[in-house]
Amino acid sequence: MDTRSELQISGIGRSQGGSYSHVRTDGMAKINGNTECISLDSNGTLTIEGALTSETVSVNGTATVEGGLKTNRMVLDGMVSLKEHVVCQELLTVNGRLSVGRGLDGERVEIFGSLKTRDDVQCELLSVHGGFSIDGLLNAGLIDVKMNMPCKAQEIGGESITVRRLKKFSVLEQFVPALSAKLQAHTIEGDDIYLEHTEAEIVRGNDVIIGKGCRIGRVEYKNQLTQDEDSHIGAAYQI
Amino acid sequence: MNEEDLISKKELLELTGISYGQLYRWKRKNLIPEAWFVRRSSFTGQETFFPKDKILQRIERIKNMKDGLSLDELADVFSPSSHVESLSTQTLIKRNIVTSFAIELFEEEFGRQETLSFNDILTVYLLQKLLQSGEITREEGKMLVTVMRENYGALAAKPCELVLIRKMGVPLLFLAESAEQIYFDKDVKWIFRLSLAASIEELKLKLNNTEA
Repeated sequence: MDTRSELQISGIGRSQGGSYSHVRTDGMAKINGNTECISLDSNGTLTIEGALTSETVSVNGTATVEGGLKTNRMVLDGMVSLKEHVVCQELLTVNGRLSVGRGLDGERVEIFGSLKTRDDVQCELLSVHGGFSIDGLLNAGLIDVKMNMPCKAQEIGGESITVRRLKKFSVLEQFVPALSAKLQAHTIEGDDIYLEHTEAEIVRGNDVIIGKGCRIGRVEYKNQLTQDEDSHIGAAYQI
Repeated sequence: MNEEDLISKKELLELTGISYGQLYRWKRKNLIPEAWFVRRSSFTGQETFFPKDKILQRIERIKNMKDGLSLDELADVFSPSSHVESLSTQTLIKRNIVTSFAIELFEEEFGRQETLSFNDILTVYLLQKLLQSGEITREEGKMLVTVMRENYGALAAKPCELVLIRKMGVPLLFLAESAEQIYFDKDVKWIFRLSLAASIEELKLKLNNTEA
């Protein structure tokens, strides 16, 4: 029998960490200490000064977790900052902005907005509508990116990698090139690769399509390479 | 580690015939440990290299086993920890994982046991393996059981080696967490040096096979 109690904070409140069944906060809440619960539901501002383990997490507004986070399903609407390693075993949906101080391990990751991590990202499916900045290796089975913000990763690896730019062309990026929606990576490796508006030093894959607006230093492909006229490839080798 | 012992990612894929996608997938599933991805600078910038012997052997094993087992089951085979918590001594004997003789010896030291934890199963398995190959005596077997019981808990989930040496007929048994090279004087005779990770893999395969 589960004897854990619920935690509910409305308005401005502060609580200790610990083990709870359900945690619900509305308004400004602060929990100091490691927290373990079945579900966490937050509206407004939430700060957890410790690690969080919860089966489901849902955030509306802003949230900060100082410690590591482990969960199965997580929906984040708003601005969330997670300072340590994040594990999300089933589905992570972000509408807004998520920044992770370390790495992210997931299964399905859907980003509408932006994702920023300081370390590697690993998941089976990553779909991004917006932008990302990954300071390490992005390793995912299926990567589908629709950019309308700058995207950056040191390395990208996976089975199928698709990077497109959304049609909308903002006036701003014509004047400020740093803000234009393009992907920058050192190495991109995968089986099927489709790239648009990408700057990379090395692209390696079986079937590679280099679409418009790309600048690639070196392409190594096994079966097929298709190049758009409006792109630049330094050197291409069939391996 | 010497330069010769490393293999670049590109060479590895050519040699083994796997694709980038497979390599990355296996990495995600922890079939290939993070520590084997060695970054070195090369003329194209940073490149990833692997310890050649280890990675080739591992990929060969994954390729051989992946048809029978799912990737998650494979990951479990290669990881030093286990999800099998305990089994009763009777099941172990019935499934032919260990012999009753090895269990009896184990019980002589610790008294009768109804069920064995994974670490104890591993101990009995090692005991049986070494007794059968004639590398250790019964008395040394008892030493083995004690060493494993007292120390393996702290080392669990870490790669370590079990080493037995004899000097003037006096056996000395120890668990080494990271001993790349050890040197002794000439009177010391190495009896065996056993990587626990390999034994754990063997044992897990046996446990999984008989479950199915």
